[in-house]
Amino acid sequence: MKRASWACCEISLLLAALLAAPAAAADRARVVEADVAIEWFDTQTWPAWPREIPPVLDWHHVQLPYVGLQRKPQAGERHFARIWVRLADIAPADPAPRALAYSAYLPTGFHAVFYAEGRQVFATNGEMSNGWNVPVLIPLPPSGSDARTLVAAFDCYVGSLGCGVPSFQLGSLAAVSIWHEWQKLLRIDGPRVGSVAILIVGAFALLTWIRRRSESVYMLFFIASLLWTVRTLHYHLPRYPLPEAWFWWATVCSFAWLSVAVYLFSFRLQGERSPRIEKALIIGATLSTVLGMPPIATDDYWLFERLAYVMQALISLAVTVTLTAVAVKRRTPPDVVLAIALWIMFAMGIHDLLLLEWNLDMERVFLLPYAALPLFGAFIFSMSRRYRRAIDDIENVNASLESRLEARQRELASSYKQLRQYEIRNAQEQERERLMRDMHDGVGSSLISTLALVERGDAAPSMVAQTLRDTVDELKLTIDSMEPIDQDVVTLLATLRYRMTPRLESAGLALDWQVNEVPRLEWLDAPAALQIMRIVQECFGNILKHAQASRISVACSADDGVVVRIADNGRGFDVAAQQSAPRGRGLRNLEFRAREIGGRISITADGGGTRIELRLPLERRARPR
Amino acid sequence: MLSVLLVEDDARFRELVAAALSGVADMKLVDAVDTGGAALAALQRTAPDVLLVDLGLPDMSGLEVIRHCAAAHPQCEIMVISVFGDEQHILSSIEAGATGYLLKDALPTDLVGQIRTLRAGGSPISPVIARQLLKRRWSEIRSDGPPAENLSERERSVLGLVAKGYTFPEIARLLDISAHSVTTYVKRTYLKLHVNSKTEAVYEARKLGLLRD
Repeated sequence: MKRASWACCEISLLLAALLAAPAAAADRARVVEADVAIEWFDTQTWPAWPREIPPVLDWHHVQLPYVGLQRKPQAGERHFARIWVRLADIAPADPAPRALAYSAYLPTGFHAVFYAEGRQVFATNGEMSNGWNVPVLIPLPPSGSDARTLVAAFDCYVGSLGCGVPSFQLGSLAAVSIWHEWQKLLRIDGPRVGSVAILIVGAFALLTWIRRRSESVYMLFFIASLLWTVRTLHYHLPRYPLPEAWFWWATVCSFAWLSVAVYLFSFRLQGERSPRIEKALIIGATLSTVLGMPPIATDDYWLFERLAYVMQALISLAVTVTLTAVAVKRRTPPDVVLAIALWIMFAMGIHDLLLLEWNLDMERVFLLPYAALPLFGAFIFSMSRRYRRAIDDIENVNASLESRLEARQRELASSYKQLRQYEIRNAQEQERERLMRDMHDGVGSSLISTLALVERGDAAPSMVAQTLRDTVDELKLTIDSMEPIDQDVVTLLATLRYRMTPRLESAGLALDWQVNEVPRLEWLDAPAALQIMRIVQECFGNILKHAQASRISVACSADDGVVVRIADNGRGFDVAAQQSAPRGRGLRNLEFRAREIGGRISITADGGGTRIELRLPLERRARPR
Repeated sequence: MLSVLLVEDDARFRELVAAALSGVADMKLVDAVDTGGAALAALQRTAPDVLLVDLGLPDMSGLEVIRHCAAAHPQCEIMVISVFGDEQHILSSIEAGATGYLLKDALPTDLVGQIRTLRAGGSPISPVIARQLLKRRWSEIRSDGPPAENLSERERSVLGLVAKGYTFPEIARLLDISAHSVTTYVKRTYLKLHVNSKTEAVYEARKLGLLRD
């Protein structure tokens, strides 16, 4: 038999060999010789197995695995065979329970029956499981029986794929069971688990696609995972879920469409499109789907299948080469990984095609169930890379946003600083102007006029003292207006009272102080504070000079503004007359000062005294310059 | 007999003080000097009961003299002489260790009375200073520093009423305490401020490595 060097692809077998317990292997031997006899039948229904081995069989000695029936029968030759296999000298060396097992990809027969010493000891009962890929374990009769030979009969459809007899594993039940389990893992469980894993990744892709319809790569991946599951059913399913012909049709078609999906997906993953190849793939898949349908398929279904596989192999090669060229050109990791995955897939497919054509040992494990793994690995690699990129991008965007924000903040801070400096300069300028004006009008002019009087020599000392005292008061008022009163009218009034208490007390005036907490007035800066102080001081001054009062009450409260009320119990005066009198400057002055700070003043007087109410707004529009 | 030391660079003012104290039986002006250096020497020599000190001295700030006096003669009452009694000067004097202040223009009439009041434990306070004291973050406790002296509830209410312009007798009435207690609350506040500023200075110095533990 031609043995291609596919050793590199047989990772799974190597793994199995490594993992198989060496101790158990010692209790197990491979039976590679047997006597074989073949009965031919015309119909698809084999006669029932005889209760005993037919006495007339044309036995001849062969090496196992026996592949003598792979040739397609010529016209006129019969297609249905019952292969009799006789294993001689299976007598137990020790009384431990023993077993026989075999496993092969190729059809070893759809049904098999085993005889020990002429009596049936085991019969397969599956539809597809026993002659097809599924390893079989046959417990042998207890060692008490003196069975020395074992005879098996395989019913085979030699048809187009041919038939063969595998070698057997014979030994203790434990050792053979381990071998059998490993075979099951590789041939049945592995593909099964792989299918489930791929379906899960497919579900992820589907969910992604539902939210991102424009990215067809996800949908294609989902379709591929579904088709893959259908395609691999025949490796591990214990029963046909459909009528046998339709099941095989679905298996072959799903493979065709799987190729379409896989290659469309691969092209999209790489961002390259080849409309021609895509069209060819779709036409090919459609053709094989239609032509393969059981009602119109040729009698020789296996021929159709074989043709389909060869065609797909050629298309796969073309696509793989195309995408490899892209990968070589671009040299980006996802492209390279995808190309490698496609080559691995292609190699596995060729391996199985060769196996199908009897070019390889019929006991090899079928590799295509594993072929999806590299491809799906490439998909996951590509997706995780995209995901990483996306996160990196977001982080970069965040970082750049942050740095832009910082830059804006710096700009803002610097322009704010400039504004502040300008404001400070402006405020200093205004403050200087104000102080100059105050010095000029207040302290300065008082001092100058006092100086003039003193120099003329006609100033009474008491008058000089009074003028200087007024000047000092004026100076104190100016300084107090600059104290940190925190825009609080109450503190302002309190400061004024603190200053004036000695004066009021010496004049024998009692002060009734009724101040409540009032809201801060944001607009209350030093010039405004000075205006209020002057208003209140002037009121006190007027009371001291004119009112002949014994009691002053000062109250401060808030409603829609801050209200300061100053009342005395003096003799009062005619407000209207005072206001219109040419010398009534005092009252007009008060009104002017109140207006200056956006407030209002109202004065009422009668025989019971004078009441002055200063009303200050809570908020104030820009001060007129 | 109360001994009074005057530190003032204005000669006329020194004369006024001397005149004001000359007729008082239980007070004696032990010295009147015009520089910070002379003041430190005089403090050492005379250990007065009351120190009257101007802030603007030719050779050093009056605050230096106050600090020295508060450290070396804790029993001495320190009274700052100020023209306007403005918040900035008064508060830094109190932090340095002063417990009273004297307005220059009130001097001839009331100097003796004010010295007596101060000796009796009463400190003057203006609404603006009361407000600033209330605004201060008293209880700021540093994990590695000494605990700060905090204001008591009473001290806070006294300061609050002062800030609103109420006089000591009015406050006494409102809080139902004696007028004398009101002034001692104020003085206690001043002392706490001084202690805090002192520990703060130590803390700052230690932080800068100027002092060892």
